[in-house]
Amino acid sequence: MPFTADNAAHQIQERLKSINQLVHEIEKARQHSEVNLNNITKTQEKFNSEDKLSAFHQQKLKSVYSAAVADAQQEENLLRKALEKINEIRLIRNERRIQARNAGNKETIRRGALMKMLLSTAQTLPLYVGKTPGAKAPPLCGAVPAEPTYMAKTGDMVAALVKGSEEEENWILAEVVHANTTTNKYEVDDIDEEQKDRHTLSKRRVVPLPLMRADPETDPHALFPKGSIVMALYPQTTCFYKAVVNHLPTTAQEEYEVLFEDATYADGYSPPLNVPQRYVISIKESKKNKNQA
Amino acid sequence: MSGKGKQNSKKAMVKSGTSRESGGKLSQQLQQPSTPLAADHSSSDSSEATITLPVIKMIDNSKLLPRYTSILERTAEEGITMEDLDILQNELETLLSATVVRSRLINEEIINLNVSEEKRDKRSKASKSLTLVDKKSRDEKLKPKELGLKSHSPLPTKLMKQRAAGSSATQVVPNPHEIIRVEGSKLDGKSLLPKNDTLNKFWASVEPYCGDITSEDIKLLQDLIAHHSDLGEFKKIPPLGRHYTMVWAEQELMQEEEAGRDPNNTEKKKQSDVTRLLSKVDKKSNGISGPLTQRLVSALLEENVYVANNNADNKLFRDGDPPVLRDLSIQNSMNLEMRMHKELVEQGILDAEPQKKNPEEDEILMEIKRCQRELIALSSHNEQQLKKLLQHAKDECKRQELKRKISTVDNEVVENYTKLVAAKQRKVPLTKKDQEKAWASLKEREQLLEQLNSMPPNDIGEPVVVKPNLDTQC
Repeated sequence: MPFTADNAAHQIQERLKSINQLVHEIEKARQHSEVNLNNITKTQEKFNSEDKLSAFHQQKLKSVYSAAVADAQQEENLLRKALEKINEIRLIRNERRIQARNAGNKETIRRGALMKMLLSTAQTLPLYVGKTPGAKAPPLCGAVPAEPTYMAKTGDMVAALVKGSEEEENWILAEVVHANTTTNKYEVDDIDEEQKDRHTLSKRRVVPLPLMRADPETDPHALFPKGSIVMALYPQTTCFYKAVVNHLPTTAQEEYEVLFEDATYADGYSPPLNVPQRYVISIKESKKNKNQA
Repeated sequence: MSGKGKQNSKKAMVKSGTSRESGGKLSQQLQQPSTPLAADHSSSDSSEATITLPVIKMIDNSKLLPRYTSILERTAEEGITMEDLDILQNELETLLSATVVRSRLINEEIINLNVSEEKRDKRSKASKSLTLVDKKSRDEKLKPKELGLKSHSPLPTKLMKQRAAGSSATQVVPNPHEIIRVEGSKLDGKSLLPKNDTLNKFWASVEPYCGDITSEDIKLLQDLIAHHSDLGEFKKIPPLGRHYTMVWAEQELMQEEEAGRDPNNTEKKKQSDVTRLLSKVDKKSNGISGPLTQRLVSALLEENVYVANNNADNKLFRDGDPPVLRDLSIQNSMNLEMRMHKELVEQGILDAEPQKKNPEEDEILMEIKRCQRELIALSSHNEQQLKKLLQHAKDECKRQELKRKISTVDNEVVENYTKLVAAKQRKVPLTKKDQEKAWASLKEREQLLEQLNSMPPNDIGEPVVVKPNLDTQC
């Protein structure tokens, strides 16, 4: 749906307001649950001073636990709502941006700003927190690949295998301009503004980037395991290269630590570099040749 | 354990404060002091209050969640701006993550409490075997959780264990149905709450009493019967050997020697020691047997034996001993015993009576014979019962076969009936062939029912007569 500038601004304002309200509600919920959590601590302390845990104590503990769980769920719901609103704002803005581009007013970004933008979009990628422990993460969350039939949408970021000037092929960071579901072809723009050319590529040569981050604390199974071979965006560039996962993030805000395959280093690997979850994807081996780092 | 747990948790709390730093951003989390998650599911009653909850305390708001805090302090007019969004998102995510982790931990703890509670209940009443199965299944359910629900690998081995436990616990006759059921409940149960497999357990326990009799069951019965026929091993009476105390002593000696032996060295020497020792014992005990002989010898030899033991060559008798004593060392000391007895009777010192009885008929032999008689009686009884069971099982098998046939014929009849009704509705007379088919199936059904009725009634109380539930007229 197209947004006029006013309309979009209005929508965003509305959401900002409800976020504000939600933040206050969250604070209230936290105050509430803190009472209960203190209760748990007290109860545990009391029972721990006695050696044996009687049936009565168990009952008591169970009731405080249940209360705490209810509180936590309340909090969780509010937090999810607030984050949802934030995401909506981002979607609206992205929509506006695509419209603007289609209208022809393409904003030019300097390289430094571009890098900053890439980092911030990676950091603000929505976070996936599983509702139940061990729940299967959806596709395009963390390390979970897209379904085979999935086509990225206009405006989505992808890794695209394009031919360079000297017949060499590179996985570049690109933005989908158009996705043709009947021919299974993408039109993508190089994210780097200096490269002006637009590429038309078959689906095979395009890997959508994750749409969500996985929370290492709640859904560690949706991360690449240590030692797996991945494609990762080399810092300060817009190209993906083969890398080995060296260290997993431990919180939602942390990044992967990876070792890039790099022939310029003595042992064939770069020193550990940090790459956000968004720019780490599963490897797609090209049949013809490897990328040269 | 509780007191110690507390201390640990405090340490953990301090540590966690530093470990959770990320990218210079917020996310320092304080953990609420409480006992650590001991996660000691295996030992009973281990679910004592033990969790470390990641909680971002209100006091730390300004420190850990600066943007969030500043937004809270703003007036409604000021509200939130776009600039706040990124950082606020981050902070909210941190909160969400902590909240979810907390609620999961508590949930797990609740489950643990439930488990230990149930265990307690079970211990007081339910049969021991059931608790065993139960505990195992519970453990299985808990373990995957501990591993972040990632690993499915432990399942198969556990199923094997479960199989063993399940079959041995419930009844003597291993029944395939029952095992399948238990497995099924196990797999379902993983996703369910621990309480919910009670139902399955009940049905699993009932299944063997209601299920169909299979050829495997019959084979098992036959095997059991065959088992009873070879009791030969138990009917054998071993010949009189050495007294058990001597055999045992010898074994003990061997064992000790085995235990004390150096891996390589001195082996031979010790072995020879033992054999020598044993041979000495043998010489003494075999040489003088029979109470009378022993009494006589001890009366005559009190000091000599003592000296003899000290002799270097371990000879029982010295060269200077009178020939009567030499006689004592003759191999077949029974003869000596008998001769002595005869002598004594002749002298009028002993009564002839008590020694008269056959040496074979001591009380142990009597006991052995008594046990064998009992065993044979019991075995024949069991065999009878098993044969009866087998007969029943075979009958039942036939009956099942008939029932199966009847049900297929029933289906045919129903089919024909629907055809008939359809034909009637269309006012088209049924073809000759169809009619014949219908009659044939009806007749077959009647015949089968007759057969079933003519079978001897089974004593399960199941109604044997199956009422014809359909009447088709053509």
